Amino acid sequence: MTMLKINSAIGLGALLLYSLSSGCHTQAEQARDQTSSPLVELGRHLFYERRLSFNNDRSCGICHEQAKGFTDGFVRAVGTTGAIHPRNTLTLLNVSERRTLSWVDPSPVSLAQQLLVPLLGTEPIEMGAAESIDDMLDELNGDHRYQQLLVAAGATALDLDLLALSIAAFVSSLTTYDAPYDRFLAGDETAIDEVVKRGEALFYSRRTLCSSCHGGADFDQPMDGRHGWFNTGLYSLETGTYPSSRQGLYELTGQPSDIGRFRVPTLRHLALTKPYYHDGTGATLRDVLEHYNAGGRLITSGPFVGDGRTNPYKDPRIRPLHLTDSELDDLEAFLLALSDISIVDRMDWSDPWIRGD
Amino acid sequence: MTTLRTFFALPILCTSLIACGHDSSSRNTGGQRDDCISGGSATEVGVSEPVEEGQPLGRPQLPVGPDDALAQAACSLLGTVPTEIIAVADANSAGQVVVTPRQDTALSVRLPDAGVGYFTLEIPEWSITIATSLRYQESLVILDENCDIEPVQSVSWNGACDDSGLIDHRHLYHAWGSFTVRITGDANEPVHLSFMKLD
Repeated sequence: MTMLKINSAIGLGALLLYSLSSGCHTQAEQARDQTSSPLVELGRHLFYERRLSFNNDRSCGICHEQAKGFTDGFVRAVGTTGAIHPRNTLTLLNVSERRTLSWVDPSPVSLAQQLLVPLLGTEPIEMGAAESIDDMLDELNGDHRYQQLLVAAGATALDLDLLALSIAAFVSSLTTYDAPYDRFLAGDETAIDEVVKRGEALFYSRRTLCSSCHGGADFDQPMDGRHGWFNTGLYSLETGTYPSSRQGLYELTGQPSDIGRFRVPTLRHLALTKPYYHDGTGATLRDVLEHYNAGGRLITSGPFVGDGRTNPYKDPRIRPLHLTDSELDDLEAFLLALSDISIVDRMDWSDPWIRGD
Repeated sequence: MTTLRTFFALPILCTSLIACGHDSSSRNTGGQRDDCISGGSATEVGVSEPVEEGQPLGRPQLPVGPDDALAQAACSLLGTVPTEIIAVADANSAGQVVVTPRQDTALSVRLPDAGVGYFTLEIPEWSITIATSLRYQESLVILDENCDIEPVQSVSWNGACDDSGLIDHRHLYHAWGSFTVRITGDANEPVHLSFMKLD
């Protein structure tokens, strides 16, 4: 019954989403089951552990804050030494469903591998633990709280492998498919209103082609099987370049055609994860929608003056949409209906050091 | 001082730009001011705002004397080579220009033609006080979306460097974050300002 209704109302794209979402609901349930596991609980403590940073002022959870959809709210991230990073912090919500984890690097990487980058990486320095990780682990092994957690997890001591494995287990549990739109797809007619439904129709329309890039259960996968890195016309400096520290896939390949190509980000939880874009220069969701409606971003002041609409490397699907203000309202409402804002109150995802549990 | 009183006021203004205190993404660290919670609005924290002669004055304008280390440092910063930035013309584009204050940061800000420019100030620490200095003819306002900023003293004339026309202001940033800064000045002349962190 529900499936037929969806099929007739919004077409194949939503049907595919429903199928994928249904599968992911199972994963979400599995993730919830995992939240009670000793390994996840150990990972939760380590995720919020400030003693894993050089200055004792950073943890995974500081820069991926629950109240901000596990982002940091900064335009661009700032490491423990105060250095500004070139890119905006990605959300960790549903990150276990991602095939790649970086704005620019398409190499598949496990969560356990990836989280060692902010922990130990030096270019840029994030947590700055590279020089002192052994001492840090020694300190944690001597902490009574961790001794209890380790026993519960069936381990005798915390080493780098177990640290990575347990934090990855916790991060994998940060999975939710319970946004208003999910509930609507599951049959709750009252979960979204008519404005959202109009936005949904626009999102899946040939007119906007939003879903051609933002497909899948997390709205981050191109529906046609193509790669997921695109130049969306955010900038156009000399010969179509982007700001020097933010060149996209080009930074890895050196191919001019890869200039400005960044991964397609998820559209889930946008209500919590502003600012937007790879460099955080999208202050509001409306700004982002207006950029897409114009077929690129025109910058008339500041250091990056240029017309992104004419960027020669821009994906051809980014073109003027001619949406009215009312239609932009509808589209914005639909995108916000992809956010599960209840996650900010989930105790099993919260900082155990603040709660004292 | 009399002259200063006629020119400066400290606006702690609440506007209706952004919903503050009702933002679902607002910080869970607490510490919001009462005016933020009840006002349902964003807060603009002014550093110096020129006012017309005869208008009601803001808080008393006291000089920061020559013995004040920060005031002296602000004077010294005037003589250093500043980091040059180009401000953008609208607040929503401020993320294109990001500045993080270090122990002492001197900036030369080129404004758009209208004489009003914006950039982003990223504060990567909690409970930190930052002194900001600029000339009295110019104004600087921080758009404090989450009401995390609190002035820790009234706007003051920097008496450590005579005739500099430098205004000193100090704010406590309760929580880290990105803040949009609006500067008003002469579009034909760069605005010189400094940020200094208090230890």
